[in-house]
Amino acid sequence: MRLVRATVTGLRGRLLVLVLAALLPALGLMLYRALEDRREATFHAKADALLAAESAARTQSQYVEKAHQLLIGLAQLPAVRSARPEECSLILAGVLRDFPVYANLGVAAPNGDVVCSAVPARGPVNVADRAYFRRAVARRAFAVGEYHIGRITGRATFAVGIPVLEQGRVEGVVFAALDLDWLNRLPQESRLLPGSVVTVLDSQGRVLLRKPDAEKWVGRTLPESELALRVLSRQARVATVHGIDGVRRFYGIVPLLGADSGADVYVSVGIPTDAALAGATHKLQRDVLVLGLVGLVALGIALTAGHVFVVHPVQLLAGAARRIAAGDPHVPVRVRHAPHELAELGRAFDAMADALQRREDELRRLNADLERRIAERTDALEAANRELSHQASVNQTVLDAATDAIALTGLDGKLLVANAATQRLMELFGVSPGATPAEVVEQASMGTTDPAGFAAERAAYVADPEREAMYDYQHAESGRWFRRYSGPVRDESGAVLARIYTTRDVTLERETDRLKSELLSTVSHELRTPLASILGFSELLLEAHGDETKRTRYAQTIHGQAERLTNLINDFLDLQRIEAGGFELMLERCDLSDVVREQVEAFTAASTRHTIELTAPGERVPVLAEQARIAQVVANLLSNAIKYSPEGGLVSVALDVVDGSSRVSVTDRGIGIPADQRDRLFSKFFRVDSSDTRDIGGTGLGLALCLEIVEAHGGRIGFESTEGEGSTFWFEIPLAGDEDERGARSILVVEDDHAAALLLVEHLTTVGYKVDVVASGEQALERTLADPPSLITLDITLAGELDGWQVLARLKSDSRTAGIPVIVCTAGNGRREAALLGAADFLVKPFSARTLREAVARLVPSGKGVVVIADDDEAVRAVVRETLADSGLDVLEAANGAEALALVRSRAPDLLVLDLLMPEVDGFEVLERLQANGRSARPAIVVLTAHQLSAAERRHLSSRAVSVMEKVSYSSAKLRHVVDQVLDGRAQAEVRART
Amino acid sequence: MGPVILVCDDQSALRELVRATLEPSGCEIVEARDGDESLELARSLAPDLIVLDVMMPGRSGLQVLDALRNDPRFEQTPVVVLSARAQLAEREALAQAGATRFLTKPFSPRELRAEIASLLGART
Repeated sequence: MRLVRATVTGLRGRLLVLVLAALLPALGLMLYRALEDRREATFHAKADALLAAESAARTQSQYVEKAHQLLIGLAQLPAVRSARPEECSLILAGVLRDFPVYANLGVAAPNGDVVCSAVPARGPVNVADRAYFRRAVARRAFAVGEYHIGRITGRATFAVGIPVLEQGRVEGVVFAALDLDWLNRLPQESRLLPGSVVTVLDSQGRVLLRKPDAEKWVGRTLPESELALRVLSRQARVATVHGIDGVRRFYGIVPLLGADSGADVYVSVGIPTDAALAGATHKLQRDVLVLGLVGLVALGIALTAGHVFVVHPVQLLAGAARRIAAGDPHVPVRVRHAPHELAELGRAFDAMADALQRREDELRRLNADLERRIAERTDALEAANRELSHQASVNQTVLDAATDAIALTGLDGKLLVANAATQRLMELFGVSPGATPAEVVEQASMGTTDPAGFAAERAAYVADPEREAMYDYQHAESGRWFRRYSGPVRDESGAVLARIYTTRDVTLERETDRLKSELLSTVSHELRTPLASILGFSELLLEAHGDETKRTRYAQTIHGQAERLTNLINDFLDLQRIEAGGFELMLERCDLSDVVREQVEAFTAASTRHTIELTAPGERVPVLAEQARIAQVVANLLSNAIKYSPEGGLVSVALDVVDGSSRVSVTDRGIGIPADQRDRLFSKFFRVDSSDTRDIGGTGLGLALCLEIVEAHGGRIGFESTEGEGSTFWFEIPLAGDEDERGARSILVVEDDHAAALLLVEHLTTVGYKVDVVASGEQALERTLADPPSLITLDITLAGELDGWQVLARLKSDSRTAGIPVIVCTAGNGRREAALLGAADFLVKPFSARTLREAVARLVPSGKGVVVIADDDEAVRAVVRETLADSGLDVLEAANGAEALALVRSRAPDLLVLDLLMPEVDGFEVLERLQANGRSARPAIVVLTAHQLSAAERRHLSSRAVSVMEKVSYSSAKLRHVVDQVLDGRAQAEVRART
Repeated sequence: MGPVILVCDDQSALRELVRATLEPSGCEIVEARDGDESLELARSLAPDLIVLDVMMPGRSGLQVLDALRNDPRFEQTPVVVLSARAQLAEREALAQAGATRFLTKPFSPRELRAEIASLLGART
């Protein structure tokens, strides 16, 4: 089907259609001619049929006329008239022989019986029913009968008869039966076409005769046949109808006898249409064949020429177009043998292809340019994205670091941003992960103490995106309070984009608020109660005239209450100040035993009913404290002990030193503290309440104040009590102690190289430091947190994940370790980095023990004193160093006088152990220079020399040095003794200077 | 015998003030030092009037008042509550619990006398 369509719609197909169209007129003409031929043949055939039929009728008439003449003659014959059978038959037979046109001749009696016959009858025959007989009898004249089958001859005949009149009387009828055999010959005689038929029909449609009659139609009545209808209708003399045998023929139809004959009989001659038209048909076939051949030739020529002149050039152009479309470079199309229109098209096509090529080149160039620019932009975009994602991660980190829960939701309630605190909050409220907004609200609300309120607040946000509100809610399970701010998030134009929630745990704030208001209420009440007494009694006092006893009592009460009020206000203000943090202790070194003793004495004097007993160690109990405050605490405890042992009795005060702390305890034999009230004992305004304490005064602030004071001193306070037997209240504050009791200076060496570590340990332990070594950064951090050293030496290359820089950074970023000085010890570079990261010093390996010790001593001074050993002999320095190693002093070394002077300037040592004979600047010069300095900056000097000193030299030196030792008589004990003396003297001088 | 007045306050000076104020006008003063004692004495003595401090150790004034008002014998007994000005919130609760009058500390003895007289007068 597609092929057909392609053929028809293709150029070739169109050409074929054109050729065929050109043949159409010829075909039309040919058909017209064929039609004409047929019409003519039909006309001729019809005419032939009619003529044949007319000829038959005419022949018939002639036969009848001849028969009439014969019968007239025969009727005159006496043999016939008399009807003598033998004679008559003989005569008639003779006549019959002469006239073979008759089938029979005979005479019938008036009753119809045949009395004589040319053809002998085989029995009696009656013809009374025959038409010719009845008409002849009736008309008494010649009559024609009908076509019928003779009863004697048995042949198809046509009979006529004539009456034999005897005096006007019919004596018989002479008849003749005409043989119809001539009809058989009619077609040949008329030269009719083969297949032609002659048919005689009567008015009933009965076939009287048919020649040839292969089908034996004769005698049958076929009124329904087309021919019979046409014949009987008498409409036309010619017709083209199907005969009774079904063959289509042209018929000529003619009445066989004249109208006067009285018989409706017709003869029709039919010529088969096929035969009649055969000539015309044959001619048509021949013409069609010729035309077809001509057409084929024409098509062949058209196809060949069309291909060469049209199709090929078009295909060439199409191929070129396809190549261009495929992106191949264009090769000019050479269109030959084509009509000039196509050649023109080819040239236009080439021009167009060239233009296209140019444009494509241009396009390609632009594309390349564009791609380059896109690549640039993509790079820029990627960089921006990286920056952005970094920024986003920073943002998220910041968000997560926030303690407030921060969340952003879309207007549909969907969570867009949530920080870690939000996640924690949602977990607390049992919000399942992946819950829808509605579920979040539902689940969260169930966790609150007021689900309906929570949900309503949320609904209000949904209803009004502009809503901005604070909402407090409580977590039912933990009782924690949360304050949530929620408000709209807008874009630049002010349109609401989202909603932000920031939620803060306000449990503490609310508790504080509650406590504050409670405190206010309590304070108000506590202050107003004595005030009420004062005002009330003073009013009563004014009223009570005369009654002196009463007046005195009132005045006493007023006085007592006024005092109480004063104490209350004082205590309260103290407490407030301490709590507000605006309270700074004026710490000083003092002897706690003095403080306690003073208070005991004061209370002993005040109470006559109580015996106050003090146990204290003989020595001083030094503490760093504000004396007045500690005295206040002791007084408070004593006052309580007295108040709560109303019966009087013994109050024991003990001062002890326990585990580096001083401990003061006050024990009474009083009423004790009921177990259920013990936890509230140190709360403000709490007073022990039992039936025995009703009248014991007190502000209820004393113990609260004691607690604050003791804690501010870094101590603790507590009590033990047995109800009914008494209580012991105690407090502890740290001993001031001497500095050397605070533990040896410890150094953490962070070094992965074992040998290097050993060396460092050696260098440092020999001068009295406690040294620990770790090999990795992780261990270093762990150790530093667990037991903070005084100093850290840090290698950069370390075992473990962290390197020295990372360790340093972590140490310096943690407030717990940031204060520990770090010396970076490395073979590499990085002084600047070390300084930036907060290292205290930077030593490049290998470094001398001296360098290390100096650096360490500078960073962690012992506080006991600094000694500089100035000697060019390392061995001497080592000996002196050894001697002083356990003294806890910072020992610095100088290899010559210049170094010694530099150290004196920078470290202000307490003692200078000075050799006299040194290169460059010698000991004498050092002494001179120091002499020139002011007295205060000058160290004490011990001269240690190998030089044999003269008496004069010795005197000279003695005025400048505290001691002069000769190396030959060096004794470590002596040096230690001298050093101790010097330092003690300095310390005392300092004390004197301060006081 | 004058009317019996129960004074409940943990501060003896204040109880004494009430006594000194009211005794001259013929009232009999009974002192209670805390909430529990207040209730005990109220039940045993059936006082004509009660002066009640808000803030006491043990049972607070409010708890005492609640207990009193839940006892049919004290439904009608006038209760004068002593409170400080800052205790407004508590006052509301006390009023609901059935406090008859409030006196703010410090108060004048005359004021107290007048209140008591009017309350006792209204009752008889």
